Amino acid sequence: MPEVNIQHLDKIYDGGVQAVYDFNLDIADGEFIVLVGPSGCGKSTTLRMVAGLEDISAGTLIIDGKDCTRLPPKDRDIAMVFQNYALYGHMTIYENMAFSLTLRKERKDIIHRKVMAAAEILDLKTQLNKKPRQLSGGQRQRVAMGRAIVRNPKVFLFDEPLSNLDAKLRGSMRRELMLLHKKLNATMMYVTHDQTEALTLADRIVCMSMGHVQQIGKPIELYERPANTFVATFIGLPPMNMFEGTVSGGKFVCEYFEYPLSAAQYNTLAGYEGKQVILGVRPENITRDGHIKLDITNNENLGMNTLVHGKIGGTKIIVCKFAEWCNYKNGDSIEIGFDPDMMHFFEMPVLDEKGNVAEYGKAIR
Amino acid sequence: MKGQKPEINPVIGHDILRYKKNKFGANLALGGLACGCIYFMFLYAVFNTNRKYGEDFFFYWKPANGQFGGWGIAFDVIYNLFFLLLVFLCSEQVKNYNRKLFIPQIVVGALQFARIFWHPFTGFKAGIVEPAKFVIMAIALAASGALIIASAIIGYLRSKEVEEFNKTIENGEVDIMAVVKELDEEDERAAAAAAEAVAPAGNNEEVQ
Repeated sequence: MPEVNIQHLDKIYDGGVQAVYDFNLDIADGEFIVLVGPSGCGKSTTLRMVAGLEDISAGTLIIDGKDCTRLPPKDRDIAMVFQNYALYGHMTIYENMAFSLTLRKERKDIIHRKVMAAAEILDLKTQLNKKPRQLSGGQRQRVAMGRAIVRNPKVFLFDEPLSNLDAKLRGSMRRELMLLHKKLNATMMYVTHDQTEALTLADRIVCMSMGHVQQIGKPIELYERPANTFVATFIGLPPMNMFEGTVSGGKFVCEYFEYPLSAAQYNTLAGYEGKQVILGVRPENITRDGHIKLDITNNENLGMNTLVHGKIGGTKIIVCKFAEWCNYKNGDSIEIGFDPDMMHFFEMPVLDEKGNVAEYGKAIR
Repeated sequence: MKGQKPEINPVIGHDILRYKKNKFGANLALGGLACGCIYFMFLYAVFNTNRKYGEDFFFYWKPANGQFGGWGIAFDVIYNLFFLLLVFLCSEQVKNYNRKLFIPQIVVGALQFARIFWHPFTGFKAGIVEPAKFVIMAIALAASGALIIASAIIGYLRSKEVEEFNKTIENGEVDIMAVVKELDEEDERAAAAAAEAVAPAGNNEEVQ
């Protein structure tokens, strides 16, 4: 039985604005699920519905076999960690971590054992007598996690817990979170807009946009086999280069270049002959052995690799990622090609009457 | 047994003290401080009542009978300020298991008893303080003294306890995490045994 079972979850606010559409997800015991997407895509709303902080407009939420759709948050046996830590400033770290158990009127010695065990896991033993203001951001976030751990909940919910931290600390906290998940083997739902966090932490990623789930899968699946143009451009840094064109006589033909298709690609695109499709190529899958002329506009050396920005056909801006130190100058030209195994083709997106994207272009496989 | 408090492992019990402040001891001292306030509120009310009736507006600078009031009252006001400050500091020290102010706290507590025989008693003897008010002042001072001394003693004992426990940890005689793990394992074994005890009972029911 899955630990968390979310069926056809909808969220419609009082004004009639729908934030989440038909969200379905089964989370296995001990699984680490990351909800990722741009701001306003409904990921935090979904998490808050699971936590009970938002009413569920339609659908069912089952946690460990128990229908929690209408249960108040305190009866759901979940713990949530917020972005702003939500620690009590006048209490010590020990008291903060013990607070939820004190409210439950647990025995003093049991509370102490749980707090000490959590402090040991999170390396907070020497900080227990301090106040939150005496700790760094990372330590405060660990306290917030400790407060969740002592409750021994069925599900841990994290709402962008690392967003307040600087880049270096975020990296170390990410590793700590991974270790914590391994140690506790707990079911976790984690919301972030940072794809690096999503790719490194998740057992499975739920990629959302405009309130809809765009793709659910393992990080490598989202990276290598994106379901649509949104996932393709959202996952991966720098984002995937997209070219609109047509399939014609064994070639992909666009405004800027013509590119020959392999036999396998042509088979896949057999039904699209003469139709408009989108070709997606990740910057790291661009090679320097092709026939497409790239006029370089910028060269960014990142140490272990180089981002090369340039224009194809004088207008189309693309970015390439080469795995070595390059010294191109503005105005230089190179010939590029694409790794044939890593070329992604998508249908054209469906637009609504106003010209906005109603449905992202689906992957052609 | 029902109603019986579960026994707390002594190591855990001591370790809790390291992270919890001695609020009980500190609150006793603050209680003593509050009782002291009740005393001097009643004492100063006596002066106000006299002033209201116009018997002698400046009688506490110029005593009516040479025994009550005078510069002693001025000293009493200053002492009260000192008392408030010191007892508050003592309560903070007690809260943090610090014995630095143990002796001053005992002395201040004892002085509260002695103060019964100064203004309240002399005023009562002079007929300025009514008997009922004298009793209230005497009780307030006695309670204040008792609470402050009790706070000092509790603070002393607990701080000793914490100090000794800290020494055992520093010496490596006690490993808290090992004790926590051991107790967790014990709980797990007890839970497993309870589950096993329930299982045969269930089987018997089925057989019946």
